[in-house]
Amino acid sequence: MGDDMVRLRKLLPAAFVGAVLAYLYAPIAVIVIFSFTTSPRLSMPIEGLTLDWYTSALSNSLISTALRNSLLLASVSALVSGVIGAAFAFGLVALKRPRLRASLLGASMLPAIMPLLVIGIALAVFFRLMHVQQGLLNAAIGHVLVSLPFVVLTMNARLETFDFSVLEAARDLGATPGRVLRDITLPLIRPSIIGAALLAAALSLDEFVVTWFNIGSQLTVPVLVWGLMRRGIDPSINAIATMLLALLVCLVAASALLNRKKSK
Amino acid sequence: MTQTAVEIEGVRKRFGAATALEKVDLNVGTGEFLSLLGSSGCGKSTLLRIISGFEQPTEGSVRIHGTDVTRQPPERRPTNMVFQRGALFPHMSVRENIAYSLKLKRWERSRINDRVDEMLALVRLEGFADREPGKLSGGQAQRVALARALAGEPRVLLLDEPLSALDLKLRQQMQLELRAIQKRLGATFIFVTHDQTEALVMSDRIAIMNNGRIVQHGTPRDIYRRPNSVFVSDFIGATNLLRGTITAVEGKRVVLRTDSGTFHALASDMAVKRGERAALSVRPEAISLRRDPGATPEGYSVAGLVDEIIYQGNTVRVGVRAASGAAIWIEGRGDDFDGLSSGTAVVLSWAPDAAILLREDTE
Ligand SMILES: Nc1ncnc2c1ncn2[C@@H]1O[C@H](COP(=O)(O)OP(=O)(O)O)[C@@H](O)[C@H]1O
Ligand SMILES: [Mg+2]
Repeated sequence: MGDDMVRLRKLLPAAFVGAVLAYLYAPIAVIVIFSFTTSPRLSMPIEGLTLDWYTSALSNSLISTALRNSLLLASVSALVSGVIGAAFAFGLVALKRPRLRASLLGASMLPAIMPLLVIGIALAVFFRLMHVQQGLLNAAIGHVLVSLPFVVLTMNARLETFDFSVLEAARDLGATPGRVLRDITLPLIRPSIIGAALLAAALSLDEFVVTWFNIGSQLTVPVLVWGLMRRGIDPSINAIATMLLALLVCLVAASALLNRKKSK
Repeated sequence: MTQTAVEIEGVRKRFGAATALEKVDLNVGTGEFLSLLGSSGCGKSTLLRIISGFEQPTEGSVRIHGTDVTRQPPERRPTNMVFQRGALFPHMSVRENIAYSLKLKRWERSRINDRVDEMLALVRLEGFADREPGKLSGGQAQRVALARALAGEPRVLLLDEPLSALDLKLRQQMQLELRAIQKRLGATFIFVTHDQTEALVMSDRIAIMNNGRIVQHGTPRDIYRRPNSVFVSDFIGATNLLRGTITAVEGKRVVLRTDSGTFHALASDMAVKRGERAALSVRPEAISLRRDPGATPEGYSVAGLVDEIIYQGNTVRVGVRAASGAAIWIEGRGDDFDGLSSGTAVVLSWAPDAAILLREDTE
């Protein structure tokens, strides 16, 4: 009796952890699994495995257009957010006045906690006032806005441990400010910039709310999937979601890896 | 001192409302090892950064070998710096670090390699050329930093507490090495430290800083033997200060009345007046201790009871409490004080020229 109690007490935490993990990952696992099953309906047991949903998804011209737009937006976000965010964070960390630094960092973080709905609507209204047609460009501007705070945040965290005296050492040894940037600064922070840029790409790939309000009649993968879902669950949606998932996991993992590297 | 390497004239530096340097004048001779010594925050690094070009003085000028460099950026100045924590380029090997300034000067590759090897030999790190800086110990990293700074043959080498992050044994060893390298090269070194022993051991000359000013400069011996203020005598080495009022001036001889008694001292080149406040500084090792009251030299002795005996290995420190309650420390070899114990009545005395009269610092 007492032994059973002890065993139960040991099992309970494990069961709890298992339940939480199942809650977090079961829906995703289901989608991944059903993207490979032959039955068009979501049913158990699994009848057979196939890659048909992937071929049908990739041969669908709507889907390939959406994929192309999504990748374009992700690239623009990575590039623009990466460069602006890195430069901004570098400037922040070099500031000598800690109060000013903290408030500027806070100000650049604020959009990250602002509801996406508010950002999406505000941008849409703003573009309307400026007489700018909805479209990909508007969505791109929205994506940069949404990812920039995260780029600043990760760059800032990395740069907190950056030893600025190496830049002075290079100046002291005869390097002009331009040479210092080329020989020392960029090589040292490049992994962090690329890591932050990959994060921006990941954020852009699955952005929906801000995109929806600003992209007009154009499609991205999330916008298309949302449209398809209104007509019922098509197994090719599972395939699209799984591909998106794989891409995001790669981007986020690469980003984390690059940021961990050299952060000693 | 044949030629002046660095001339600092009337340099003042303000950061906003705060003043870091207050009208500093200093000359450093060619081939001289000069230490800037002072406690943290007194402006040592600021002065060094003004010489290297990282800070602009609010007023005043810096000349190096006769050329006014006050407005030159750091990369144009004939100075190099060794930073407190090395500041090695982490993405370059030891060789690339040392070669960096030579590459910027567009030296030929073979000449650069020869020079790097020469520098590695100088700091005794042959065989470390291909190491990453992250895989060096603290002492090795500082040696590489030194080699990197010396590679381009700067006319003046600036060192900002380069040894302060090392532990004591290594620090003492590096002090001697650094001094030997400086002598071998005949280079001009300006060395910042807050450690008075370090400054005494290494320097040709020491400039002592306090609150953004140079309060005294001279050879280590001069400064130790002839401090010009209570601050300096207290800062350099341990000392006993007997504070009081001047009651008589008889030629060179001054009589000072303190709580612990009346003492005599020589006013060397200091103009003093009756009634002025002053202090007498007597070094612990200049005081001798006797147990019999016998004939005590009037004006150069004080009686008291042994309070504390502290063994320091090769030396012993004895704290004696005078009748006034003032504690006076003396220091000597261990066997000088055999048989003493707490409460023993003793008489302390010193030679007339061991007592240095100092004016109280006026803030
Ligand atoms: N960049 C700066 N901005 C504001 N104050 C500074 C700056 N650099 C130094 N100070 C101030 O100037 C004074 C002297 O500093 P520093 O030269 O670093 O002293 P030390 O090297 O002797 O410890 C200190 O009070 C310090 O706070
Ligand atoms: Mg300093």
